[in-house]
Amino acid sequence: MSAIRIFVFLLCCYAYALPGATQSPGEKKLFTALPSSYTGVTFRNDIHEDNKFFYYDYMYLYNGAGISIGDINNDGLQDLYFSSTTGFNKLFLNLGNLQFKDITEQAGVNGGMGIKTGVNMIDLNTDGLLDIVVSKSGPFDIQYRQKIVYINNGNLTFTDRAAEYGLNEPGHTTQTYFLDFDRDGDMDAFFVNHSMDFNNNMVVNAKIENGKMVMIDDTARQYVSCRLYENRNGHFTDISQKAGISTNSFALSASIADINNDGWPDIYVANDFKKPDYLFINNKNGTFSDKLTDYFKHISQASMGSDIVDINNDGLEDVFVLDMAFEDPVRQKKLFTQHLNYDKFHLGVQLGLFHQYPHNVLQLNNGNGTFSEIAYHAGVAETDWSWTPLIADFDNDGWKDIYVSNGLKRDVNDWDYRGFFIDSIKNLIAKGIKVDMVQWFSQIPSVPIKNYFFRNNGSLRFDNYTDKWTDEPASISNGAAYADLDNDGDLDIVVNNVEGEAFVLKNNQNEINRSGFIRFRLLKDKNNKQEVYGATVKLTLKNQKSQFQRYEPQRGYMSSNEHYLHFGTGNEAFVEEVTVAFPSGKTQTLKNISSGQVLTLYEEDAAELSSNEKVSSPALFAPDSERKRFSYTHKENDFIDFKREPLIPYKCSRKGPFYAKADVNGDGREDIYIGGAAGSEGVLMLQNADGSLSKKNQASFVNDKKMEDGGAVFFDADGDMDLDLYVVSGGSEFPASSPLYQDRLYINDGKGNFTRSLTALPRETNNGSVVVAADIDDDGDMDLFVGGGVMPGKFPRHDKNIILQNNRGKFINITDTFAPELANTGIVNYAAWGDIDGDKKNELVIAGEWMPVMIFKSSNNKLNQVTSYVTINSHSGKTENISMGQIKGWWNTILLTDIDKDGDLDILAGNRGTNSRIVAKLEEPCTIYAKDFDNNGSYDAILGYYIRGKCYPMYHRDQLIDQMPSMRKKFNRYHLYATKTLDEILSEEQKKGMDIYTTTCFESGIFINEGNNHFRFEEFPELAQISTINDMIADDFDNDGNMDIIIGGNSSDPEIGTGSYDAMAALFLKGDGKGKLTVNTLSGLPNNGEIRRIINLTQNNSLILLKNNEPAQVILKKAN
Amino acid sequence: MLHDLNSLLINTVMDDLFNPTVSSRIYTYPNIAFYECIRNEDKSYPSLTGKLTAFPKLTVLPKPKTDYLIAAAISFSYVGQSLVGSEHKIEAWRNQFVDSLRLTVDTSILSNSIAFGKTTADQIIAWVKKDNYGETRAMMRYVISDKDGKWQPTPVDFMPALEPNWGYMRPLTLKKASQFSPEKKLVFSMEKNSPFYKNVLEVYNTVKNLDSTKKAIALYWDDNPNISVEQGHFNYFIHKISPAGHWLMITRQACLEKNISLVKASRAYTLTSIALYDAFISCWYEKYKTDLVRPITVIKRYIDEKWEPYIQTPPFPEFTSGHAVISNAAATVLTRLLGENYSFTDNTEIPFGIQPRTFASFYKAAEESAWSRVYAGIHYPETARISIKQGKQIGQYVLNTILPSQGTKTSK
Repeated sequence: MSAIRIFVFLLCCYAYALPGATQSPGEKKLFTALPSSYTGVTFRNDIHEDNKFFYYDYMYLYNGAGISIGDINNDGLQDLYFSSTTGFNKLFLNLGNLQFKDITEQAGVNGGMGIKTGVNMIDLNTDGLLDIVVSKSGPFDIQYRQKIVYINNGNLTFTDRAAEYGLNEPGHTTQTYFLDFDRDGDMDAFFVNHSMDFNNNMVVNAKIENGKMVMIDDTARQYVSCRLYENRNGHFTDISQKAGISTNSFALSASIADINNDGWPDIYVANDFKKPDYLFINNKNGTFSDKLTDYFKHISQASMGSDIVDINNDGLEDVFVLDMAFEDPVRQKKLFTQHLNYDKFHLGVQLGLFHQYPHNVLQLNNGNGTFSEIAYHAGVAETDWSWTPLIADFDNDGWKDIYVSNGLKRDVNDWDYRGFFIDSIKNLIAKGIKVDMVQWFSQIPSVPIKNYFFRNNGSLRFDNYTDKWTDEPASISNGAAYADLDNDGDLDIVVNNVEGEAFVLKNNQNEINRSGFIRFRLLKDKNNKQEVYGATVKLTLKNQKSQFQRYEPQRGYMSSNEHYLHFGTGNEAFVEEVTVAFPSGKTQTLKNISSGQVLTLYEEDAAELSSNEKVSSPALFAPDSERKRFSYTHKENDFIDFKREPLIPYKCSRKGPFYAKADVNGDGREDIYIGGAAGSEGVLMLQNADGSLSKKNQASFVNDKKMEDGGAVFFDADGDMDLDLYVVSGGSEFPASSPLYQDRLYINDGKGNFTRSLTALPRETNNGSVVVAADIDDDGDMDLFVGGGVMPGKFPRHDKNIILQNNRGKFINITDTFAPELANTGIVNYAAWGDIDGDKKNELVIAGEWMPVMIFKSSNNKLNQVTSYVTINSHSGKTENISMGQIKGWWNTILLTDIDKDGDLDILAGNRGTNSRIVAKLEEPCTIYAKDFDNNGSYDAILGYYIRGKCYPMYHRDQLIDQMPSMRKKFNRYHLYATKTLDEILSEEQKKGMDIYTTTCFESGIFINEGNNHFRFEEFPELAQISTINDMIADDFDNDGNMDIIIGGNSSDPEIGTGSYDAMAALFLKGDGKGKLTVNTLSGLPNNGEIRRIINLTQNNSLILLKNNEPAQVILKKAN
Repeated sequence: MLHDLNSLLINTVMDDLFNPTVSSRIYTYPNIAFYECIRNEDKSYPSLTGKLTAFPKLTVLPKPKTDYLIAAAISFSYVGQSLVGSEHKIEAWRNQFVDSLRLTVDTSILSNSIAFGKTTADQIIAWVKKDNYGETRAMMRYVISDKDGKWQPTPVDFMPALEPNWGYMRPLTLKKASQFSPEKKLVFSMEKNSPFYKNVLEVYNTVKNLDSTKKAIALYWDDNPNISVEQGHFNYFIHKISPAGHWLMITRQACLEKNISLVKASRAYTLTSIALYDAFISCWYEKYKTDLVRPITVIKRYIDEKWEPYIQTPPFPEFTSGHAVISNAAATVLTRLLGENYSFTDNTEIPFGIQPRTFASFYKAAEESAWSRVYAGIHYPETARISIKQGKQIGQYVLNTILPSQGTKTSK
């Protein structure tokens, strides 16, 4: 449309007063739910149940149905086609002005009998008219499951010609997708089908095959396997077997995208229940291979709707998959799907079921073959029982927002219902008493929930804009789709609701804000107006802002969106550059395109790209593929902390491997000691002239292998000018006061041979964590600070911190007199000496869990805590000046360095990060109440965190009862427990004398030293927050004169309800010398494993990444 | 009265979803409390002081004009209430009981009786607190071994091992949990000629060839307090009476049918529940010491991946069999107290839709209970044999410890 026509059209829109709209445009929400009295869209998906057939007979009965949007009569107005589970489908013709007419009867498209599921529109016979494809499922006979292909006759009537096309496949199908998988110019079909074995969908049995334990899998394929049908001259043939597509799962959606950027479409399949999702990578030869675990670290458990789209405008497509996680804290505790079962989870991993967690996942594409899952960080992890994700720019500001439809006809997973109520019914039935099943079933609560709106705030975070953006009521919604239904340049939304009328949500963006847009149609040529699925468009706007999208209407769940590509352009009047890339390889670039229009681009006008001009920054690091330098594998021991303390939020026994680095044999080269876990001895590696490192056996280390090595340090203990070795014995797995916690001192003979001294150290049984050496008492020899780890069995109490004074080679514990304030720390993870206040004397800086960063200064023969202040931005946006003592985190590591080159040491602090369900703010701390509440000898640490303004316990009722039987008396039903806060689950009597621990900050960042014990806290960039940071090293890695930082992270310590932190194993942060750090994800650092320590071997130009329970990885620095 | 109280207790325990071992604990203490009150009606029934581990001499004596039945009921209710989850159910019963008495019983007798019942209960509750129940909640959870032949979690739910530390509970009569640990063990081996392998095959074939009688027997003695059924995202739970509860219901029926005196009935409940409780401790000690793998794990792994047992395998190791041990302990006690060839029809399972069964004697019922677990496909036949013997030994030991000796009966 030309600009004039748009303008006139818009005037007309304004001229129409919509009935029921009582607000002035200024007060309008972004979306208005239009009543059916206006729109004429009276469709509702009422799922019919009676005594002969109800949910109990078919467990996917409540999966709902879909909505497909497209212009079926080419009049410029997009029409609506709804499927109905047990009723009849409906086709609504768009009459303009968001008014529609039901033309189902005359069109002949009511979908027939059977359980209808997904709907799709595509011009199958390439005659320029959109045809409609209807999928079916259900437990009925084959004839009720055959797919329907309504070919558009061009006169508002359709004819089912599925058999002719070979598409009348009778599998149990959720949705039918089309893609040109073999790039031969025609669209092939992919059916997303599901198993019917609902009794075994979470059962994991094992058998021994070829001496190995494997999962017993269901070998059934007929009607249940996903299927690939090749289009040969308009007829479709099943080539699944040949293509390597042979599955037995509960597939609920697929997303088609080129995941590996090789020009060939790949297929992501979202699987419900126990099977992991599939990522079918196109092998370019007619076959596919499932490579899910190559790209992702974990996925959602009950995967439902999905989409693949660039959510952060970096040109890389990300993956969003929905699950059934509840945001509402009460619903969480009443409706959680499965009990957390540590052993079953790990059995599943062992048998190939991968890491699946029960929440939505947002997989951020790192551009290097790996994805980082960030749903919790982004704020989109929990949206109740979710079905369709719609990811599009709803407010036209240039950033894609998210709409999630949710709901279930009945809360069938209500624990009181299924744990107690249903039992009584079963007994009645068993006794032969006639029970009206439907009446009984109707007693299961039915709770409509509001669908979610999330606004993209331009970072990796989304804000919940549900109430701000829409007046739609709570609903039970399944399929949904977006389209510009009134041609006013913004995207409207249509939702298929169960037991309620469909939503037609009019987008008022155009009236509220007039933000710009640009829309595209991407067709083959002017004669053959075939759409080119998979073509991509990149927009470049002013100030190098860019957006990237792929043309693909088939997104979400059981539904398909409009047949346009829509971009919001914000306030920009024109787009600087538009680049279209077709799958064939042809591209076209247009410049200075004004916004506010719909552009149709043809592949025949595009040209072959001569070369792929990919500008990539040179990598700074590369793995040492020769592997000759260094070979070490850390072996963790098998202790499972949760067997001893079932309520703790994470394991404490796997903090290694630790290391110490120094020249121990006087040859001028740095050598390394790497500590071993319990059962493995520590290892001494001497550096050779060629830069490689070789193990030097040490009998004394082997003797002590029962102990678990904590931190270690080389220092001159006995004053003989060579470096001896102090190793902390920690690990926390042995009982408190075990002799296996005795720290060790190994004396160096000067040549790198170490012998344990049995007299130098005092007897102690503390679970220690780290050790640092310094001349604390200024007498010329090196003393030690040994940090205390967790008190074994009493999380989160900490074990003792110790100052050991070096008395001519014999070490005395002087803590009580010299540093009594060291009793006030939390669980210590790291310590360092540095001159923080610039008085030429070093202070001791300590960091750890459930504590702030603490600075201790020695004066008058005592080590006292320094009071410091920090300027920090609170979560509410205000800037506050508070004491450093209030900023409590789960700090793993600190790094003292002058990051802003202003002459004083700043404190970089690595924290747990923000990508977790457990949250903390200054005003809303994560809290533990701990005490032997039941007087049975166990120190019960009960953790709570804030949800919607109240602090709730993290546990399900049964978890708490297992540990504290008194809870069963209080909460003999789930709903009684579900509403209670952390404060309310314990009586006042029980709370007397309890210990309270808090955490107020999970962000990692820099305490910029501003002098006079004052700091300013600057958070690290977002990508450094998405996983836990275990270690940091500083160096000028890119030779630009400024300190850069490398962080190492990830951890599988958390309990399985929280899930592993696996989003970022290593990250390069480029420093600008002024205190600002920017992320570079293409630096060449690897992204896998739990990196606990990074060793910077300055002399031989390499980094050693020490990973827990894995081989260490050597990285070569290329810039030097 | 006593029968009503036990029914109330059993139903409350079932609704609270206590597991089998913990249920046995909840059944025994209130019955002990009842007995200690009611025995005052008949001097020939001595106190349990000195017979049960650390059982205190009850310091408060009944005043003259105390109705021992009222006191016993009150005592039972307080002890029971302290042990269950849904306290309000027991409290409600007591309140309506007391209210109904106000109309018919003399005020001072009523208050004496209630006082005596309450103080007896308090002393017993103080004694109960030291039975290690709290401590066992704090002990290490079960850690799965990866050695062949060791227990693995079983389908449908793969629930964590239940009560791995129950062997640390303070027994009522046993000197230690290991006292009746069977000398003969069943040792894992996949050698085709080994006793274990033959046992596995026997279970495998038994289930494959079940007739309707064996199926009925397997279902009859299922007694799983919490069976999970998985159907899609809708998985729900069926509750049944626990094994201890089942035998107390058998006790109830026998007492009612024989129309015996209340004191005699109380002794029957008490000694039976003591035997059940000690039997559970002995059996659970053995289960986690031997840590033997269940048939379903072995069969699916090595023989036939499609084989399923007839009922759901409960979540704890195989050797020895809970049902077999506790049933035979109970049967030994009941035989002595209520007669050797007492034939009865057991109506316990009717509320669960299962038809009653008739038994020629308590021992016959106990024996059938043991073999039902083999028909069900969740135990090996040799385990059933060994467990029957273990149960009888425990039952006999309980009798010898508590009853004045009338010549020892040797168990078969």
